[in-house]
Amino acid sequence: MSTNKRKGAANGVTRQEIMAVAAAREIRNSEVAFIGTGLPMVAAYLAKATHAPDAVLVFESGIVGAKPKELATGVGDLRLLVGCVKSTGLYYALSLLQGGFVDIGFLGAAEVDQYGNLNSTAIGDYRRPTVRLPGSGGANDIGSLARRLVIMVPHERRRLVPRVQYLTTPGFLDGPGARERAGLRGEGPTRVITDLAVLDFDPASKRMRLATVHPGVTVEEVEARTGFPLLRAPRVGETPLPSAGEVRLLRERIDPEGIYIGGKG
Amino acid sequence: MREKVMGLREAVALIKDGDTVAIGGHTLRRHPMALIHEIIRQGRRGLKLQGWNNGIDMDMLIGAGCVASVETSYIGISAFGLALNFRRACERGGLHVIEHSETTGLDMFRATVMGMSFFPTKTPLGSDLMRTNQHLTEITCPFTGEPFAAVRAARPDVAIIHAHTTDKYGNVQLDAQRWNDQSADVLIGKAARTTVVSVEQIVSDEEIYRNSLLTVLPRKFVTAVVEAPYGAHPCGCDARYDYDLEEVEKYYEASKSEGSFKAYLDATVRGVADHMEYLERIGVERLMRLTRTRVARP
Amino acid sequence: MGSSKVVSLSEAVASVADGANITFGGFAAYFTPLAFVREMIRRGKRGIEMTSVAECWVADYLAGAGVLKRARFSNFMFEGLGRCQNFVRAVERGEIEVEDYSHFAITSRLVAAGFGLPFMPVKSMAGTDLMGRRGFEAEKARPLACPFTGEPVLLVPAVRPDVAVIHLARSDRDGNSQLFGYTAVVEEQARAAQRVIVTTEEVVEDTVIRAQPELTVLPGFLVDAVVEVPFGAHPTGMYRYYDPDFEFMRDYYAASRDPAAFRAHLEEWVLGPGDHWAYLRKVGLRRLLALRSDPGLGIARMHARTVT
Repeated sequence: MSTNKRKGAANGVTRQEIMAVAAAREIRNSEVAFIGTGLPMVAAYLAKATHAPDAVLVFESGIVGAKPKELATGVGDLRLLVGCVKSTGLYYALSLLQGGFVDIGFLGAAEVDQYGNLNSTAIGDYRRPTVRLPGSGGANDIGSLARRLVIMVPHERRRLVPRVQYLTTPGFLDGPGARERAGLRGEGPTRVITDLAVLDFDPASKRMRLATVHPGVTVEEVEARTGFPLLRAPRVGETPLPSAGEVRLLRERIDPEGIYIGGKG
Repeated sequence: MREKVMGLREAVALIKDGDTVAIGGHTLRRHPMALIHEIIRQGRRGLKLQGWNNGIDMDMLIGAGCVASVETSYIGISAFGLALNFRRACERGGLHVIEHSETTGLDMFRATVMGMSFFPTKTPLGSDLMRTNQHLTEITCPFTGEPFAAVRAARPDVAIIHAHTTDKYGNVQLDAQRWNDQSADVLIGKAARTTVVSVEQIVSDEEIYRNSLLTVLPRKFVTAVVEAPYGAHPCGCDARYDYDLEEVEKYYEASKSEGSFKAYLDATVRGVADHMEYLERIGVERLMRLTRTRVARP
Repeated sequence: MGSSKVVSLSEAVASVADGANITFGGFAAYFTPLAFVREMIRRGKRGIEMTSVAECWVADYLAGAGVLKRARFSNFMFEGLGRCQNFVRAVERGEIEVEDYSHFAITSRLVAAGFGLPFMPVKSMAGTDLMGRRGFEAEKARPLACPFTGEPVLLVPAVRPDVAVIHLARSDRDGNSQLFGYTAVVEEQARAAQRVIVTTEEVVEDTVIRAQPELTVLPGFLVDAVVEVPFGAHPTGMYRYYDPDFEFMRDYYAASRDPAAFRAHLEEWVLGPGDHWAYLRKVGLRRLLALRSDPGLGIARMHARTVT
């Protein structure tokens, strides 16, 4: 268990718990949500257990309407099948995106740039990379086609870069109108949730913008850990803390081993 | 609810020297062989065995020197031949045999389960079974004056049976495709003071609830459950796996003399620490080849 | 009724040529045809090209054994462990050529082939480096303005792999094959490939298939060969049969971080055991039986508490 997960815990709540709750709040009840491994999965479970019990969770492997009893460790984890509504194939799940049926998707990445584009393919030259990353998977599809996208990453200078070295997943590409010109669907990224802050995108320029800082974090700290000039919302607020009920759910039922929400080990 | 899962060693330790032990299964079908091997490993003596149609199970225990008496309708290896340890023990004397037919062999358990001290039947009348079996006696129907044989209720100390699944509380199930769910093993299981059930797999509560009609022994009747995959080997287990022809032939050859049978027991039963080691020696390939499709599964 | 498509594993592997373009079934840590892959390595297959979506275990084993030459794919990642070390090391050294796709785009190439169409239109990949940066692929996708609406789409060409190798739950002798749980990309892979080899946990009577036709993923006419391989996905899992062997996967991952350690792993687990039975003997019956699924849940173990 990485110790930086416990650093900066405010009021006994870890940064990852703040992130999970912020992400959960992005899912509205009855929405169709495309879910990946890690904190997005925790957020989805939390949403279903609280304000969005009717949210439909879709996993790229072909699992639709999951109602899992236990935290899964992958998008094809067999535990997601137990109690799901429909088990089908990858093409079915992914074509739901193109058909406009998916309201929200969640993604992480090795690099995020100021337009919310993501890199999960390569650092360095594409054919002879310094670091070969796992590849798009459903990321590009989600970024291109979901109605809304929430990005969740650790807030690090080397991760929040001016321009991604390889553009795997479209945010706003190179600025206003670019998504439309490329024929992409959906609003694009609406939130970036990190362990320091929640950010959104300036409607005019489509550049990343600081919306709220987590309790105990300063605006300066956020800017120092961002590798590009970060816009600020007119009023930068404080990220709401998780409620006691949400924390209890996370620690006792959803992720009791603290695999993703930290605080243990 | 009390959890009843035990290891093989712990469960068999519930059986004491001199106990009356009823054994489930029939000929080459679903005898609790893993439990029987462990009884031999733990060196039990003076057991009084009860069953209704038996084979390698009783023959092996007799050959291993565990048995004082047997009460059943049949001990044989079916198409392979006679049960030679049993035969040797009978012809030398020293093994007390209580002869039944299959009907009376089941009736003795039926009586116990129904809370009666005997069960009436016509079957053995006029045969030498009446003469040689002190648990059969002639009675007269008080209504019609007809003669009947009364079969004395069996009262085993321990029952050992092999089934397919159970939850951890001892709710024992047989697959939808199964042999003999209404009588035999179920009667044997309910008749004893202590009932030890080995199963192919201990399953989730969900699985038991989903198929409640498959429950043959509710937990009230069960003392201990042991997970023993292939626990009937070399006997067959319904639609799960065939009997092991190669092993039964090997058994039969070995049982032709005391010396060869002792060597067989030393190698196959006493020479392995537990059931898993026994199975590893049989080998995954052989076991997979015996395994049949699980047609009972959804 | 008289004929049978059942062949041995060695026959099936022998039928795959060096340099073949192969699409493998499975997804992440699940229902991957690894018995077949191990046999490929044993037989010294060379120069293999993968048409892949997310079959990370195949990619990493074949990369580590020096069998993989190039891959068109969407994602290779050992969830919960890390990147596929053998694969990324080979790519970073220039030993394996790659062409990146999104899940939907590469699957759409297989769909096109299966539908008998030269291409499928998609909206994914547009505007990104999946289009802008090229690997080995001669034809990847072409932009088109929709003739009706003018809307931009990308056309991805059909891809027809030489062989599909797919591990499924149960098959009859005609190749009618069933699978429990999600199906990932197997239906599309089977239709697109020129030849289909199914490895299966159990060969069953056709009455079993016909009793539950809703479970059938591949009708027999799509299947050329059937191989009975119990535990054929190990160490990946098989829904309703056995869980993934996570302990084996952790040991594999540790070994894969260093080429010499991985070579030792291959010697011990792939090249050493002469066949699949020898491999299973080495894994051990005790371990295999401990992985067995609960029939009610389809997985080996589950906590009682409900989280959603």
